[in-house]
Amino acid sequence: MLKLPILSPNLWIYALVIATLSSLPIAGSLLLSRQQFAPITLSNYQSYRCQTGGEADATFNVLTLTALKAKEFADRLCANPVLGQYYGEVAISWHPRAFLQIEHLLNGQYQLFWNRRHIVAGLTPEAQTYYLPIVDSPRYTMYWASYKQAPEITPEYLADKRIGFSEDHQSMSFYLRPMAALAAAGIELNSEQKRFYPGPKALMDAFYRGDIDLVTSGGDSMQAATDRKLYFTLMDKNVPSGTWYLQRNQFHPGLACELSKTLRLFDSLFEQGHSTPTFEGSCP
Amino acid sequence: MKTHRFKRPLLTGLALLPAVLLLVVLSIWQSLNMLATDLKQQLSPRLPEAIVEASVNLYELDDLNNFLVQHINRDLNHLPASGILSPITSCRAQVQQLRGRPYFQISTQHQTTKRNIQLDWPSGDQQESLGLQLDCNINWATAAGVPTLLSVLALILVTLVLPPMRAEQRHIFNRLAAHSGHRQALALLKQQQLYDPSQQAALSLLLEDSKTDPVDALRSVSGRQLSAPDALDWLQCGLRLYPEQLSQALAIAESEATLRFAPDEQRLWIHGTEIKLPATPYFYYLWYAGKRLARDEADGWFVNPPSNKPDFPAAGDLMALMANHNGHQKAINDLQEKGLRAKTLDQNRSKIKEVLVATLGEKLAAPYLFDMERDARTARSKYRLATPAEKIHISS
Repeated sequence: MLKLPILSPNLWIYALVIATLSSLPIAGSLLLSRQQFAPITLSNYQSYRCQTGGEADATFNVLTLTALKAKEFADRLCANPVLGQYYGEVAISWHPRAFLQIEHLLNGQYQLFWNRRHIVAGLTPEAQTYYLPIVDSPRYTMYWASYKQAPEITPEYLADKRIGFSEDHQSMSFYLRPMAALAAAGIELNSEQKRFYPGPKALMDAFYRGDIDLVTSGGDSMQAATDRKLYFTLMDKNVPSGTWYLQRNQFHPGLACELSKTLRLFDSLFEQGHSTPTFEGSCP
Repeated sequence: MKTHRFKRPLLTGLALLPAVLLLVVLSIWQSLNMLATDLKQQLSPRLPEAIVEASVNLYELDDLNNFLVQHINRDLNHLPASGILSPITSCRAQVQQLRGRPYFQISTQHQTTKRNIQLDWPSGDQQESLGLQLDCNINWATAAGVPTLLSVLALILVTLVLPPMRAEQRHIFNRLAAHSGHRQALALLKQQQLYDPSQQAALSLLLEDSKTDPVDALRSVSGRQLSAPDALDWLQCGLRLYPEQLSQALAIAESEATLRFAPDEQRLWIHGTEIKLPATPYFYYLWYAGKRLARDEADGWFVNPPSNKPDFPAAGDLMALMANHNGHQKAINDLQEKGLRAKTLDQNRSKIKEVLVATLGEKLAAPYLFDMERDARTARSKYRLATPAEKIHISS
C-alpha cells in the first residue's frame, strides 16, 4: 500500500518528480490539440444538374467540352416540356475532347454528346449503331493573328517568331490546323519557337502579353479583346467544328427537334454561321 | 485550521493561473495551425486539379470562377475536426480569392482565430492561386477546461509528494511513523517544525528514549520556554531523576535557576528539582544561605573557626534555626556543648556536596556549592555559598 504523501529520498528525485508532474498538463494539452479534419469530399466541379419537374425517372446526360453556356443549356432543357415528358433530370458535364472513350458509346453513358466526326468514327466504325448525329456546329474560318505585321507563312518571316499552340493535341483550332498549315508550307520550327499552353485562355493571355508573336484566331472578334491593332492572314476557310450526337434509343417524338432548337444557343460561340440539323424529318 | 490547510494549495493555484492561461492559448493556437496545415494537405493537389479540369477549353473564366467558388464554399462549409477533448469542434473554409479575383466574406469575429491558406498551381508558364480563409469554432469549455483540469490534477499529484527531509527531521519522523502511522507522523512533524530550536532539541532528547510516546513528547514540549543555555542539561537531569515523567522533567528544565528553601518542611529545591538532604546538613545549608541573604560586609563569607576556639555565637544562630524548624536534638546539643567547629562545618559541607553532585551531577550542582578562599587576616579557610543572594529564596 502506497503511503501518502510520498517522501522523496533526495533532492534530485524530488526535482525530477516535480518536473515530470508539471510537464503532464503541458504534454496532455498539446497532445489533445493535434487535430485533423475528417476526410474532406469535394463535389464534382465539372457538371451541373437541374430538375425538369416531370414525373419520369430517367436522367438526360449531356457531355460537352466546355463550361461555357453549359448551365444555361441545361436550364433550357429542364424548362422544356417535351424533355420533361421523358426525363426527370438533366445532367451536363464538360471534359476535354480526349475524354470520350469507346465504353461511353457502348454503355450509353451520355444521351447527348459533342465531338468531331473523325474522332467518333475513329473510336469505332459501329458508332452509328448507337448514336446518330443530330446537329452540326457552325463551320468557321481561321486566321493567323499578329501585332507586328500581317503574318506570312514563309521561312523568312517565321525565322524569329514564336507561335502558340494548345497542349490539347486534339484541338482543331489551336493544334491540328496550325500544325498542318505549317507542314503544308514546308516549315519546320525549332522547339523554342513552339510554345504550348493548357487552354485557349492561357494561350490568348500569352499572346496579349507578348510571350508569343503568332496565334490562330477566329477573326475580327479578337480585336475587341485588345487595344493594339491586330493583323490577320487567312489560314483556312470553312473548317468543320463538330457534331452533336443523340443516342439512338432516345429519339422520342419531337425530342430531336427540341434539342436542335436549344442547341442554337451555342451558335454565338462561333464567329459566323449557324448549326445545321442532320437528322431526318422536319421540325415545326 | 481547516482553512489554513487549503490556503497554501489555493495560493499556489492562483500563482499558476497565468501559466494555465498560457497553456490554453497555446493549445488553441496549435490546434488552429495543425488544422490549417491539414486542410492544405487534404486539398492540395486535389482541389487545384479539379479547378483546372473544370476550366477546360475556356477563353474566359469569370462565369466559371463564380460557379467554382459557389461549389467550393458549399463543399468546405462544414468541416468537423477530430478529438472529443480537443479545443476546436468544427471549421468553415471560404474562398477569399480565385485567380486573383476577390470573393470576400464579411465576418464579425476577430482575426486571430482565422487562418489563411493559399493553394498555387501552374497554368502554362504562369501561376494561378486559390485563397481560402479558415474560420473555426472553439469549444471554450474543453479548450479552457481540459488544460485547467490537467493542471489541477498535476497540482494534486504534486501535493502528494514531499521534498526530502533533513536528517534529524527524518529521524523524528521515523519514530513518529513507527508509533502513530505515516499520515499522523507528517502532521505531527509539521507541528514540530513550528517549535523553536531549543524546543526541537528538547524533543529530540525526549525521543532518544525509545519507550517515549512521541505524541506525548510533542505535546509536552509544546509551549515550553527552554531557551536558557543549560535548559537541555537540566532536562537530561530531570529525565534521569524522573524517568518517563516528561512534564516533570520539562518543568525542571523550564524552572528558574534558584535555590529555594521551605524550612518548615525541611525541603529544598534547586532549579525546580527537589534535593533530599538529611536534616543536619539541611540546616547548615540554610545557615550559609542566610549569610548570603544578609547582604552585609561579610558578603556571605564565614571564616572557619580555629581548631582550638570554636565559635559559640554562630553556634547559637544555628541552634535557633534548628530549634525553630524541628532540627535533630542531638545536633542542637552538640552545638550547645562544643560550639561551632571547623570540623563540623567541613563535614556538613561535604555532605551537601555529596548529595548535590549525586543528584544533579557536578556541572549543574556547581553554582549551588561552596566557594573557598583563604582569609587574608587569619590565614584560615573561609567558605560561602556560591549562589548569589537574588537567587536564594527562603519561604517562611
